[in-house]
Amino acid sequence: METPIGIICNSEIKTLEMKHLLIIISTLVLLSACNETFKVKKTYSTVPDLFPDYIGVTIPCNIAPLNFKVNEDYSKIDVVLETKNESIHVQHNDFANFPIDPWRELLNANKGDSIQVKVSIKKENDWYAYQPFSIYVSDDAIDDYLAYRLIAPGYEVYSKMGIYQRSLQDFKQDAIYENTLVQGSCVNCHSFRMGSAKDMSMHIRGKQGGTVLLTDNKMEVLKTKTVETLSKFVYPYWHPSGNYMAYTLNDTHQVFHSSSNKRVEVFDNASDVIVYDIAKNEIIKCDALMSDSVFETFPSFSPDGKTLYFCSAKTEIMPVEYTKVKYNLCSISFDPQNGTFGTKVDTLFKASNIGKSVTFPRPSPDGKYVMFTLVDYGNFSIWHKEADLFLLDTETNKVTAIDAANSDDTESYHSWSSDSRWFVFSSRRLNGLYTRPYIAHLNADGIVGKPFLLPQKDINHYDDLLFSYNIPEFITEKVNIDIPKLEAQLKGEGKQVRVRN
Amino acid sequence: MKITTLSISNNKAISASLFLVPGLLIFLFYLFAFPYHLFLKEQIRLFVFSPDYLLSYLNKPASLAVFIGDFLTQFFYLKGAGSLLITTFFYIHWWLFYKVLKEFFSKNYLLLVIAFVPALIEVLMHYHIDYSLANSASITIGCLLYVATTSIKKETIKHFIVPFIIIIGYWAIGGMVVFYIFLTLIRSIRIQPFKLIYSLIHIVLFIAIPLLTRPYYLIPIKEAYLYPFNNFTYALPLITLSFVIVTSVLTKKFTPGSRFSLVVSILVMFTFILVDPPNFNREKVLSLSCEGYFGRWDKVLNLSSSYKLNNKLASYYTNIALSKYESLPEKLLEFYQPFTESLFLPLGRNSGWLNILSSNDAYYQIGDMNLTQHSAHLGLIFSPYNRSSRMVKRLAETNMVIGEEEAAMKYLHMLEKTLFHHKWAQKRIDMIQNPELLSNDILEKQSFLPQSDTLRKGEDNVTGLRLLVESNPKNRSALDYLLCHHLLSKNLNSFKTDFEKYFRFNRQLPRLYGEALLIILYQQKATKEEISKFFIQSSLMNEFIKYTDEYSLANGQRTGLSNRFKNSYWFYYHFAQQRQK
Repeated sequence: METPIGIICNSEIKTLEMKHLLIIISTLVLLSACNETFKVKKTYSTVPDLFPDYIGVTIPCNIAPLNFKVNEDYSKIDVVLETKNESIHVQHNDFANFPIDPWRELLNANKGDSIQVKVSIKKENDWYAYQPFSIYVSDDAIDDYLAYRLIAPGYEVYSKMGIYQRSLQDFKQDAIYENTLVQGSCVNCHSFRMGSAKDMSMHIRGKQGGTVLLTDNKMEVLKTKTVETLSKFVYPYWHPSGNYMAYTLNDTHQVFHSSSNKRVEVFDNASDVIVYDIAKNEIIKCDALMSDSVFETFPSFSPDGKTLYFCSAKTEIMPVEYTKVKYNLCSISFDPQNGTFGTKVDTLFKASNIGKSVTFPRPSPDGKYVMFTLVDYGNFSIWHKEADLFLLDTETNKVTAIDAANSDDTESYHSWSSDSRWFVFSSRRLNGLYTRPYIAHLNADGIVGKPFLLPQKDINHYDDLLFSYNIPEFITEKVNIDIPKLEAQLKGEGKQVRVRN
Repeated sequence: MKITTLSISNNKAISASLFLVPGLLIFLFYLFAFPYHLFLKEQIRLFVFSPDYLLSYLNKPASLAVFIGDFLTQFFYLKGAGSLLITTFFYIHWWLFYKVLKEFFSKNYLLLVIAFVPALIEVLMHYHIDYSLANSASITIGCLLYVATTSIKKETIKHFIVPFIIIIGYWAIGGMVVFYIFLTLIRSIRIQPFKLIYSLIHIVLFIAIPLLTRPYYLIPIKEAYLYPFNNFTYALPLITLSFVIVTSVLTKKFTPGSRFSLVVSILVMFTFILVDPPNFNREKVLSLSCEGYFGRWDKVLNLSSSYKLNNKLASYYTNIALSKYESLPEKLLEFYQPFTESLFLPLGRNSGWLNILSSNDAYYQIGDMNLTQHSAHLGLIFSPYNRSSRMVKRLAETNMVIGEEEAAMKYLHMLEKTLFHHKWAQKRIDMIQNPELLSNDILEKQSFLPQSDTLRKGEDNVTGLRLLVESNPKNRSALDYLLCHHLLSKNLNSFKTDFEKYFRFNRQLPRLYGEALLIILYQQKATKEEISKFFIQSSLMNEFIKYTDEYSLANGQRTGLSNRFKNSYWFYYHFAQQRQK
């Protein structure tokens, strides 16, 4: 059975606005000018095996084109994106590379609907077609940028790394900071207040180091080690008001597994959680978050700023009993007016009861959920193959696995978009070694769509990149750091934080 | 008439010889005296033919020069190709410097000699491990831009074009564009002094462009002006050339009569050679490293035996080679051993990238795949350009051993897109797709994988070695590394414990272990029965008695001991001391 496929013309095209019409016609003319018309020799009974796997994914209406290839040898690929009213037809030698303007038009015109994707490939001189598949275009737009650190998966590396921001509407990536700027430095733990690019925290470690705090674009470099506290500031989380930041203080160590299916373990010999009052430059301590018999870590504030979530585990002899360390998801009330804590710690999810451990609790901005990672033990979930994502419903306290997003490999760090409809998470599912950012949709009913790999202009990008995507965070606009000013501040004394009496 | 013809042809022959001999000498020098530096330069780079990868060259200034440099450096993989490229660049620079000088001096043969000196200095720079072909390419492009500019007849057009060349030039050749500006400035001074305003604009442009683009490139100020040169010394060829030109301008001697310049530039060259001569010791060390990488471990042993170097890295590769041939304990003390650092290179912020790059090799040899991978990742990222074909190969192999095929394929697919490693990659891809094709090396390493899991610190090599030996008693490399580690750290108690636990007498007791055991047994005042358990040869026991006699007679002084004991563990135990760092 041979099916003719050529340039797509649809009679309903006249219903489109004139602007759309012109763009589409001109694009079709341009794109199809060199397209080969062909007859399909055989139609497979299956959908194609794609890289990245975009079959059945839910995407934002403003995402960059989802370029892809078929995991087979071929000399040409022909793809038709078809909707009720319009279509895009591309034909390339290596991978399907969609032009950005028609792609945007297509998505905008089909919000809340789906796109049919018809893929054919040319092998030798014959064309083969696959069963079509759908991509669902959500009404929900995604935040404009994604910030992440690119770091080699060498655990202790500081030679070359950087924090970058990538426009999600196209493929442009800019560096926010690269450690080439200050030789021998390491940069980590970037954090934004509710996705705002004007309020950012990151640590620069090294001789000229400090915690860089950007509050409403005003930059300060903090010296955060005090005699009364365990360490410098480590894992951050912004208070929604922008007046406070929660940080952990950790005595962290790194060890290696001997077994080949596990690589590295990072553990705390001690850890505390504190809140930093930005205006007063004071560390606010709380006994319930600084217990010697408990490891406290991974703080995060609820969207109303009145609750501090954190992970808590009974201390064990480290590293001998490292597998016994199981973190539970806890919370404590916080008064933003006075910067004081409540007295009672609530355990929201006692993971230790089921022999598991919680990391990275992240409340959704609408306050409905807390997403976290669940592992067998410890808190360094990024190197745990069993690490999966879970949701806690804040009304019912019910915990459910996000099956649609989880894989057989690691799913670890995650963050919410500003409208709570999208979340990004790092996963090692591609090759078990390099983390890559996946984005998934969560609708109003709490149903999670199939996640999609952050699209790239060149689909070989992930194959050729020797860095992992670390700590992906949505931001609503572009971060602008005054580099000469940052350098000057790093060379200066820095602002020494104090502990509140 | 005949005599005249003969004399002309003789002159031509002499000229041709004078022209060809330096190139031949340069070619031969890098081919025979310095090949391993060039091999290593290829190993610490990776040039992948992929659009995304190639676009990454735009992330730093001098994109074009670095691109060309990296593209050409991959040919260093072939023996002789590196020498040929350096020689070619020598002739290109010689010609270009001559063309530049011609702008300032009247044409004369002496100009060729003057141009020869900085061209030769540039050639000498290549004996530095971190001097790259990107630097050569940036010099070439810089001079070409200048020559092209001077070919424009209309001065007004020239004045308008030069700023564009400077802007594009910074993108193309980075800080080297300053040399281009310098030449145009000097030319203005000489030809049109009243048009100096243009030169001032050019200088302002040069000062401004790195400063303005620095926030995009995210590099410190010094680097912004020097890139791709990572060391001010590497600009010496251009400084020399500039000096010749400046002195001619200052002295207003625009003829090659300014022999003073020539003399000074030759002096600069010789001073450079004297102050920073070729490091032949490092070449020897690199020969061991590279031959090991090529899998020619017999050559490593032969070379090391002939070198007799007192160098940690040399001993490190020698020990791996000895372990390959199962003769580590037999020959360990025939070579310089700076305690355990010749078994495992310490990793830290001050280790130096060459040590970090090399540190995975010992772990791979003993079968410790987690630390091999960790070290290879560090080697990759700490190599000067954060890209290394050698490390990517090692990472691919390691993931093949541990069965992480997807990760292995990632590296192999990268290597498939290279000019000289694609066959290597294809062979491994075939192995993954057809496990019956797996090499003996991979299969052996797979048999070494630990069966149980425990945690250890990266620097705790002893725990790692014990686990490997326990998991597979046939892992002789790990056993010998473990026992030699104890001996080199003079930890005789641990040696005895692990020897008794893991050593099987199905192999002959190595002399080194016997010597160590005799010290322990002597200290423990062991009985004959106890000694007999270790199957120590009687001749060795007799030697031990002689050694102790000599040691007593010499009152514990090393000078009083016979040379025949210099390679014994007894001598090491008594006299080896760690150097103060």
